[in-house]
Amino acid sequence: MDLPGNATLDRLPGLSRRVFIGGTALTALLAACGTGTTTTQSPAQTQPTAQPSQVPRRGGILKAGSPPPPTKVDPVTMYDGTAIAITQLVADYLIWLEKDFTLVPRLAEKWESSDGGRTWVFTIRQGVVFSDGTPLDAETVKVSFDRLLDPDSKSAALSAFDGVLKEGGVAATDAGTVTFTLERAFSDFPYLVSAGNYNALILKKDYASGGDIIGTGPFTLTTYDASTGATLTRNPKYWQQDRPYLDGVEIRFYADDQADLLALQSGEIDAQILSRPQLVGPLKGAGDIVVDQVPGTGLTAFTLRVDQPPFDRKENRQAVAYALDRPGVNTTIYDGVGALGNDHLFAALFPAAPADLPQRAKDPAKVAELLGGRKLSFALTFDPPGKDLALTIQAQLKEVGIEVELDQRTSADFYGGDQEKDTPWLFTSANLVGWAGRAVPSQFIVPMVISDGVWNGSKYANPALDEAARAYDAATTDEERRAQAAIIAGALHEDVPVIISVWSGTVRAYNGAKVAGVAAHPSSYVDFSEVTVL
Amino acid sequence: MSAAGVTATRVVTRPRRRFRVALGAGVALIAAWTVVAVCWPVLAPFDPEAQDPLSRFLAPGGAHLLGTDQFGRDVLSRMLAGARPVLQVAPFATALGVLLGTAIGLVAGTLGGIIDEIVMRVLDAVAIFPAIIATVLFVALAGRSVTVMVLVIAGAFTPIVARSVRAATLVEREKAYVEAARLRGGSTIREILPNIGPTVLVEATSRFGDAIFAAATLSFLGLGQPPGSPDWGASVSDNRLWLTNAPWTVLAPALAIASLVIGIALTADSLRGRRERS
Repeated sequence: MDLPGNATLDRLPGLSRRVFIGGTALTALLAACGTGTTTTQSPAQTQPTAQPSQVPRRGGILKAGSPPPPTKVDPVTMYDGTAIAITQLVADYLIWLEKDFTLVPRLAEKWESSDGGRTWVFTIRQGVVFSDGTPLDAETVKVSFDRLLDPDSKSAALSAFDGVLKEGGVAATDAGTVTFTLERAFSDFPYLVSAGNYNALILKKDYASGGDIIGTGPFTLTTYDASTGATLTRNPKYWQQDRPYLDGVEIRFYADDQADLLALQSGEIDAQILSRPQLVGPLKGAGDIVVDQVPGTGLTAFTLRVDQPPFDRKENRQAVAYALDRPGVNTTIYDGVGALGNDHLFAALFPAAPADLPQRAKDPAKVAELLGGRKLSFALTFDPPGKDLALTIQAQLKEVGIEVELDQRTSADFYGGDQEKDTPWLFTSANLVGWAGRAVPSQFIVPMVISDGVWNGSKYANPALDEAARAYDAATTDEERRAQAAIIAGALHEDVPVIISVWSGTVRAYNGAKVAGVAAHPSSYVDFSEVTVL
Repeated sequence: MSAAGVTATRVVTRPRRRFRVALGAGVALIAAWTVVAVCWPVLAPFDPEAQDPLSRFLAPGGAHLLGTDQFGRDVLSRMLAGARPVLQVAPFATALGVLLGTAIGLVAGTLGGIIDEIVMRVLDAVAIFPAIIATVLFVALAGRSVTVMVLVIAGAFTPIVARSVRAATLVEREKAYVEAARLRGGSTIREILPNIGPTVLVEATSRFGDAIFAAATLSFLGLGQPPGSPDWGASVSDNRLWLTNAPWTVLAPALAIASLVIGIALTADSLRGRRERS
């Protein structure tokens, strides 16, 4: 497996590996020793992106390929990777989420909490202007979040803020300070106003859905055609000095993954925005195509209903968990890019992830012992994106004598129906539900496994876990957070209401002979401000 | 024998030989795939469902003569096993469609008049409705199963067969033997039916080829066989993403479809040629 970033390292123009490593080490050392710009920091918070030790080449256009967005590009309601990428080139967040899940101050210079984690005060960066010259102030930030918190906004951000922040909870204390008053203590709140909550872009006060997208980002959107692509040009008013290096970005839309890949191979584009691990995997090391990869926090939950047969019996759930060949799933479904799951909801990227739980592995003898001679068979319900994993689960469980009947539905059927009574994704005995990556584990735990979780498809109810989840969100120290994480992870690992076999990883392919600085991101986000054309 | 006589004999003999060769090749292809559909558990070198993560996308050769797919499944074994679902659907769909179409066409052509008008306009209305939309609607209502595939394909074929049979019936209806039967008070349908047999046979063979394509298309669209089926259409659909990286995963089922359809087409052409000559 390639280490993330190695590809980029190999391709930096005129920069030796020794100089690069030395510079990086020095930067890391300085960052570790420094106090940072914030008064209260999340454990994963860091300084802004390190400055390269060499003057990079300026100018040029980066040509990138991506699927066409299914709907109009609107930063408030967008949910697809292409729309997110386009808007991230044009607009900025208060905080950027780095690929290792550290937080990097952007439009917010610093932040601090009080009242036991219920009140958060953000200091807004001064001197920043939008690409049309409008100055950024605290009121603009407040309006941006009010727009997302409007119950009628139809923004995905609403579910991210659910139970944490509601309409009226944001105030512009003065021209340079914004105060968030939460519904409950939430120690990971900075993640919710970061890129981790991808709709949380800071837009102009007068932005209305469907209108021109004007931001404070490194580029401005020059043209956009829903069927062919978008062109972006360098924003001369960008607040980060001397960035971006590129004169512009041209995004071409390809409706078909194969066409996107062929465009990269033929040199029609320089990079892909949304690469598929299985497609680009075979290109690693072939020609000029470079494939950068990083671990992620996306998952497909193999949900087992604990309140009805056959999975009301804990041993049956554990038997299924022990029957899975997780490295095999990772290789077959994720081309080896993912990381093994351990049937709890703390990815290794989450700072509080417990390290002492033994990794669950395939154990046919244990399966036989848990089943005790009983025959186990069940129907597995899923929609088309889960088909490959369903086939692999069926084949693997067949090897230990567990029969799985595949029940494929359309996505509309799978997620349709009455969400309180019979929707398949929440009410079938066993199902596969894809969850996009989240910035904090609470965004998985609270909806998925606490007793009254809105998306608790397993119907799992454990008061001890509920209490630990509340304590985790209110924890003010790393030790406390880790202690509660251990309780939550231990309960999930033992009770197995959901099987997490693999945490997905992401890849990004680009032509290393033509561009440098392109990198994969766990959420496939883009930051092309330091990309250079060779 | 005169020189002219020799030339005339050659002219007549060569096409006949060609027809015989084509018919033989066609029947052999159909027979071969039929044997495979029945005997694949004995013929397949591997379990077509068995996955092997360490053997993904192996190129043809060695233990896997036609390579492996994204799950590490043996492509040859899946191609052989894929014959059964196709041959479970196509013959029955063809038989049902030809049976219904023949009955409707025969009755409409023999009776004529207002009944013929009504039946043919109804069939026109059915035929004009896009088959793929009708199929999607039907599968959405009835669910995905072999029976549904058979009914859907048969339903699409019925108007086509009915029109051909009606046309042949109209020709036969005017002949003296039908008039004689009518004067005798006998059944004209019973008299006409044996004489439109060649038309029905050619329709059946032509529709059989179409049924193979239709079954593969339904599976390609995810409207046919269940997930994971080695069905050829489903295999082409599942593997088309890997066309660049692992073309053998698509080529094997595609060539299987092509070879069976060619076999049927050769048979149908030979039968049609024989009918025209006679």
